[in-house]
Amino acid sequence: MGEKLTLTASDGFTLNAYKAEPKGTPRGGVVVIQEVWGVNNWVRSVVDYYAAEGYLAIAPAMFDRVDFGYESENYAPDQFVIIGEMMKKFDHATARLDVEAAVKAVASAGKVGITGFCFGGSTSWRAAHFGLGLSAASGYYGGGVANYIDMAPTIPLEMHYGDQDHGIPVEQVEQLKAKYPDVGIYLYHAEHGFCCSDRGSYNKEAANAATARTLAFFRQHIG
Amino acid sequence: MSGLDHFATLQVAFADAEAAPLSAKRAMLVAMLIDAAIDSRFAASADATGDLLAFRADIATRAPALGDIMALASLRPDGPRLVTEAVEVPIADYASLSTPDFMVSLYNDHTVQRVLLIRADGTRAEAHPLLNAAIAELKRV
Repeated sequence: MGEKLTLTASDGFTLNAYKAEPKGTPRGGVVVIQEVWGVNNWVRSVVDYYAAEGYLAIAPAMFDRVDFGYESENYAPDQFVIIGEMMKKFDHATARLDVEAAVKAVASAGKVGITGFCFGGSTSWRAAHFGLGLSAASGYYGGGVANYIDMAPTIPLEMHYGDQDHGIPVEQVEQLKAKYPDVGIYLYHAEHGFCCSDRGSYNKEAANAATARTLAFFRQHIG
Repeated sequence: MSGLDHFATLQVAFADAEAAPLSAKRAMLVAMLIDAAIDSRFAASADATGDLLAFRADIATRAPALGDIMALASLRPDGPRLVTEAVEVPIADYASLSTPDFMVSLYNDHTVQRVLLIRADGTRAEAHPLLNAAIAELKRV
């Protein structure tokens, strides 16, 4: 189990985070980037997982700039309009500062990797483009491929997608692979959100396979 | 392939396309199977004096969705085509989005991806409702 804390970004903004420490000497650090429901129970469980695997792990609350303290366990459509309105204020540029703050918060552990899901997958790709002090990135079903396909990665990167994704065209995933043949891009027989065990889209086989790949990737590039 | 086999194959292809509704190539496969089904129907019913082109033109007149699909399947350089595009969703419509659409739209300027048919005259239609309508028309004609 980890703990809640606050981070300060380089522009002075203070945001919430959840951090978990490994037993013994850390292998390195891992930044976990949330889905659109904030740093909720499932995201915290992912942080705990990477801590159990030997990493100093942290999840910054990426939507604190639009709604401080936001997190939700309600995955139902009755929240969609509320969150949609809230996210009009979201800005990828300031989000980058929040990722940087999280990287710095675990950098004492050694090299740092980033992983994330949906919003966090897209953020992982963007982070791999900008570097941000990271050594590796492994993102999951990041939507809006057309908005990041031209952002060439500058660090080792892999991505995981589902061929039944109702939010990401599979042809766009193929375009990514064609443009970046050296990036590990994997396409599972699964839906969007296949790793989240708190939703119906969870696909245990795909999630286990993808998570094993991420762990091996981090072992190779982080420690 | 018999007419029954052909229609079963079409239904399987459409189910696959619905499972991946943003896949333009799966939508295109359905369109091609619909087009081939029309030709098969002609072959099964026509005598030696029949005219396939007239048969298709007559269907296109009576069944507009099938007309769109036949035009797409003809692959004319200046004809209709399938494209995948970002489509903006008003916040008021968010409650009707699927969970994946909702999730992805939030950090992509409130847009979702859609497979669209763009006709030669520039008008647009979402591919899956059009394919669904064409299959319904195929059952009737």
